[in-house]
Amino acid sequence: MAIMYALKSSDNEIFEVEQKVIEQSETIKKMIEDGAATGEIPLQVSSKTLAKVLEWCKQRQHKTVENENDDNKGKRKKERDEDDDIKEWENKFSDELKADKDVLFDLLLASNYLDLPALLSFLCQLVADMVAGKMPEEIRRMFNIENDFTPEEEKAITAEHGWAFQP
Amino acid sequence: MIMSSAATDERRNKRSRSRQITSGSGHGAGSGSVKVGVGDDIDDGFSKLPDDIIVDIISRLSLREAVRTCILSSRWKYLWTLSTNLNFAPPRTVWKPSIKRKRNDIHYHGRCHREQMSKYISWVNKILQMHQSSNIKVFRINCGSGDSHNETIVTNWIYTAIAKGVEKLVLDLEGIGAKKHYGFPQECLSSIKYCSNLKSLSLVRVEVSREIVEYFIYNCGFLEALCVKYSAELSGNLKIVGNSQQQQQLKLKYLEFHCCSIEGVEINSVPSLLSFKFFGLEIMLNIENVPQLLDISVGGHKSVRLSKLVEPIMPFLPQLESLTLHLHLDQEEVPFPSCELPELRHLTFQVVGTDCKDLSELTTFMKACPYLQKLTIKLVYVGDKTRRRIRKYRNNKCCHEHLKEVEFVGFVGRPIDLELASHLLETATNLQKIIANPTCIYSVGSYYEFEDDARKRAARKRAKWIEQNLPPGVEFILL
Repeated sequence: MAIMYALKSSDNEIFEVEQKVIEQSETIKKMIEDGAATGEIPLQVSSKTLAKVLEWCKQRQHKTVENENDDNKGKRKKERDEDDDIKEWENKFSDELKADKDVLFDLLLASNYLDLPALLSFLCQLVADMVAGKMPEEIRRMFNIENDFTPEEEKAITAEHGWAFQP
Repeated sequence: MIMSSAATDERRNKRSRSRQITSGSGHGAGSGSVKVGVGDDIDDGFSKLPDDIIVDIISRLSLREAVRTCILSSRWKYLWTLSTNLNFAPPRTVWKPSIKRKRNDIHYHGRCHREQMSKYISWVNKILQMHQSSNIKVFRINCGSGDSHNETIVTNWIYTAIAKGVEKLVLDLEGIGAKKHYGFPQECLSSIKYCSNLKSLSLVRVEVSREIVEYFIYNCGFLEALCVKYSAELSGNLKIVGNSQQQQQLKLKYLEFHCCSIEGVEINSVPSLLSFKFFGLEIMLNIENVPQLLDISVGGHKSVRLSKLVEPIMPFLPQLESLTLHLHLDQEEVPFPSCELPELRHLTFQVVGTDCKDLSELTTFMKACPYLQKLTIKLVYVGDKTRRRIRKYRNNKCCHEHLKEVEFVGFVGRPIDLELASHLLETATNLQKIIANPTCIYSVGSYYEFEDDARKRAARKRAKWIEQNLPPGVEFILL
């Protein structure tokens, strides 16, 4: 029988999760080890975000469990077949996040707080891909960044790093 | 220099957790459209993030894009200086000569080169001066190092990279007008032991001795990738031998030697090794105890007998997933494997071929690879003006039912490659894609990659032949 834990989101929703799934989070793992987690584990993450986090963890979990049982060769073969599935899943996952940037940023914070390095790195890359190849004005618009420079300051900065702003 | 407080109080290696964690559903409102500038509470996603996450994102951009973020807002002004990615790919401003060419000016190119070099050096130094982070992941230098007084500058860059705990160090010193290559400084040896983070080392057109290379291999405990290209000084018998007794096992995964003067390579007991690439002289290859090896590339110049390089890797063929062979069609026959390659998914042939030759021999090699999914042909075409028609390959009824993708690089659209394309269109029953890239294989990845010329245009015109003979369901991509 798999050991289950109850996670409580900041808006008091309860998520029942297998131990193996949530132990990917170093933060939660420590909480369990410290014995702080009798009953519900309270987390500073909204239910909407937590659902996304768990979606990610479950997907990861499948991969690691299956691979543990195989020998080298079988493992490689399986990985190859699974790679396509995972890519497809990740594409869908990132498309959803691109469409809802609030969730994307909350997820970034949550992955940092819960200490999920793989998710954090995945999300950082996702944002980097969104930023790459765009001019500052486009990036500001995309993420609602307020330009608080005066036109003079802006001019001075562009002049200092002229090489980076030329097309 | 004025630094934002955000940038100065960095220098933490570990991410501080939970400092700015979301508080429930509060921030869900007012997303997207409206800018609310109440005090510091600007409604953009980044304002919620701690600096180190933003720095992580910036570090995944090119240096140019990273620097460009400084103009987004005052918070971003200096965040790029904490980037862990210092890939000094020269910007256009470095390449553009300011000197006007006068008539009969034989020193023009030399002067342009010197100008480029000094521009590049001051550009790199300026950025290094502004750079604040005490740790970096990537440090890549890509320039020529012509004059001897530049050598000390390059050496200083190496020391800077080492001092910042570099993980991936790339020195690609393509000397356009350089008389001799930069020599990796012997005096750096003592600091190599401080490269405790080094995972990847790549030296291109850097003269480096076997002693130094071996010193890196045996003293950098985390070294996973090693690549040396165009080093005449790298000679003798290179030994890469792991010791299972030792606590510190070699962690090498990728090894590549290209156009060096090595006479022999011995690889033994490197259980982590995934990939081995060699191009150069006809050397003594001795590979043993590499259970994970799944990618091999071998070949050499015209005088090299490929069979001498293929023989030592024969025992590993059954475990390979990808293989690259460099062939000279007029030199010798394609070595035929003595066993099947059941794991092979990607096969690459880099072929030097003339008009009068055909590539039918390659398909006999493919017969030994029943599960092949991708075939790449890199063609170095040597036109000899032989005019001939497209012929059908004879006695070759083998079916490549798993082959999904065929890629031609250096595509010329002459009988030599059209014949193979036509053959594969017939025999690869599940083919999904044919890619024809007319770029010469030597300019792929270089500054000239996307320049258009008459040769490319002609090849594209001739590629119509494939389009006309394309069966339904197969996609044809012409680059």
